[in-house]
Amino acid sequence: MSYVQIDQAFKQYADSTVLKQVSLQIEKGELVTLLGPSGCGKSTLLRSIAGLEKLDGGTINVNGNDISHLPPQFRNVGMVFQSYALFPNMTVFDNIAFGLKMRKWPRKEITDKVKHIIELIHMSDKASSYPHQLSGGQQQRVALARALVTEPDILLLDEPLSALDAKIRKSLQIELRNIQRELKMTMIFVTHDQEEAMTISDRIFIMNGGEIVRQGKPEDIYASPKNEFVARFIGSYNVFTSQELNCMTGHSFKSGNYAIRPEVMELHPHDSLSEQQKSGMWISGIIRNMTIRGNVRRYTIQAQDITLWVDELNVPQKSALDEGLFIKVWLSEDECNLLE
Amino acid sequence: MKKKWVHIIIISVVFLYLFLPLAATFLYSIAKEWHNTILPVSYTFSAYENLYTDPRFLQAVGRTLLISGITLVLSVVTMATATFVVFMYLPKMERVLQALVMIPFAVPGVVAAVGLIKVYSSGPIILSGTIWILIGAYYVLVLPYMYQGIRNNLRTIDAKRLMEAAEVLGASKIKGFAFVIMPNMVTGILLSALLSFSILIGEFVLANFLIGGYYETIQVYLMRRLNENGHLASSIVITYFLTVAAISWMMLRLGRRFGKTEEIKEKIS
Repeated sequence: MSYVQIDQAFKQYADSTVLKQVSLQIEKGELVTLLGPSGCGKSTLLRSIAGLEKLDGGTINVNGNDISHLPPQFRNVGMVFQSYALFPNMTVFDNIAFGLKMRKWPRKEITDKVKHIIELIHMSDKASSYPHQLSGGQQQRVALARALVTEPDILLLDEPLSALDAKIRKSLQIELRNIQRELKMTMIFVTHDQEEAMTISDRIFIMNGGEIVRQGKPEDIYASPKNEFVARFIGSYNVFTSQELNCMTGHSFKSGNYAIRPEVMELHPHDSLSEQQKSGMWISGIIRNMTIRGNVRRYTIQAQDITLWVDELNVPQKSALDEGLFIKVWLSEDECNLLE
Repeated sequence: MKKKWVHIIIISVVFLYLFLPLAATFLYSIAKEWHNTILPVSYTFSAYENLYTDPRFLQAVGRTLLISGITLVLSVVTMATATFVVFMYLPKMERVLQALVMIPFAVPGVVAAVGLIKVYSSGPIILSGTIWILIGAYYVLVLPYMYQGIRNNLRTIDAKRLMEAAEVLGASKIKGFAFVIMPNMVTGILLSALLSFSILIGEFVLANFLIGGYYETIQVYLMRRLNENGHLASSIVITYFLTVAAISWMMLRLGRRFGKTEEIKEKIS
């Protein structure tokens, strides 16, 4: 049996089913992410594990114990909320000590433990500050420390970084991952940001419409999205029907939908001779738009009536191609992923 | 620049309109001789001395404080609990509670007083002529202020999320309420209680109709003495004004603190 095992979790609100017989297994020390768009049921699943929502069906086992019907205070799970939910009337120290006080730890041990965890999050100088005296990033670190200090069986994180700016978010992602590895803590992280999920997760569960539609390691999911929803959600894949591909490339593809990563295609000038030198498929088109996405240039190409995206590394040695330019797009047949 | 002067003039006129009568009343309350001069010829605090040393006045103040105090304690205990439970666990009942607290606005004071006397003069519960009928009526009167204040406070502190955080950290519902929710509600409750208190000490209709001379409260006492002499009447008005002003000042201070809490909450979220 896995460390965390959820079987057939089912939840319904009035007419809508939020969780449709969701099952998943998580091993001890793993950091997994529930990834999906708003309303897909990821937060409900997380809250059900915490005991903040009651399941209408199914079971939740953690460390061999069925916690499905226990109230939140007896589940021994930690949770970090999107809004942090720090207690405004308590200092950083008292916020972190709260869980230990509720568990009736001796005062001396509480002090030692809280001091240790405050050091771990590098906030020793802020121990007597109130939440409103801290920045967003500091508040989130306190919320994390408060959840970790009770040594929960699992730590649940409900979009904990979404309210922070990009720079702090990225540094906290790394910090969170380091803390998780150091403490070997089992964590379930909820986010709708696919980049964040890719950065921090051991495994990703992609949810849509109350179901898990794909699960696996980040690299596997990205390389092989398997279905159209995942392809579109995970990495702005080009998704074409076989007819569209046939029309653009002149090849004959098996019937179905195909996903193609924007970065596996290459752009060549229309009059270049590379077509004769390089085997593969060639698509003729015109550049309609180009946007800079940091280290990548994204071209929007129109090939006949079909629009496709091509990503190119943004390096100074290679200047950007102009809008309105006729080009040829090279594509390998191996990079066309047939979707289920 | 021109606009600024217009503003200053308008504000000054309004200020004079509001405060001149009050200033005149104050001057009259401390005037010893004042016949055909702009300002009094001589001054005395005898009217205040008479008022504050009158055992009936002090008794009436005590009675009002007692009635208001009991009402507010009952209201805070029951409304804080009820509003919290409805807000957290029975959101569908919120409409019922909202309709209930609107009753004092729908029923005029005189109608309520006559109705209450009729109901509680006979029958299984006889409260007529006791302070409990006034406490009951006052309890209903302050319901909207207590409810709105406490509900807004719960929303401001995001009580649901705080309670969830407390529970996940191992607190029972009672401990979560006592250690996390209640301390964050104190300012809001104090603000509501002060607002209710300022309404209760200014309320005359219910006090006069329901117990009147049986149990003379400050309102009834002041109304009776207003006709005795002008200086005393003026000192009564000024005393009343200063009391309400002091409560308003406290409310403003608390309001600012409440506003800060709201800012803090915004920062946190």
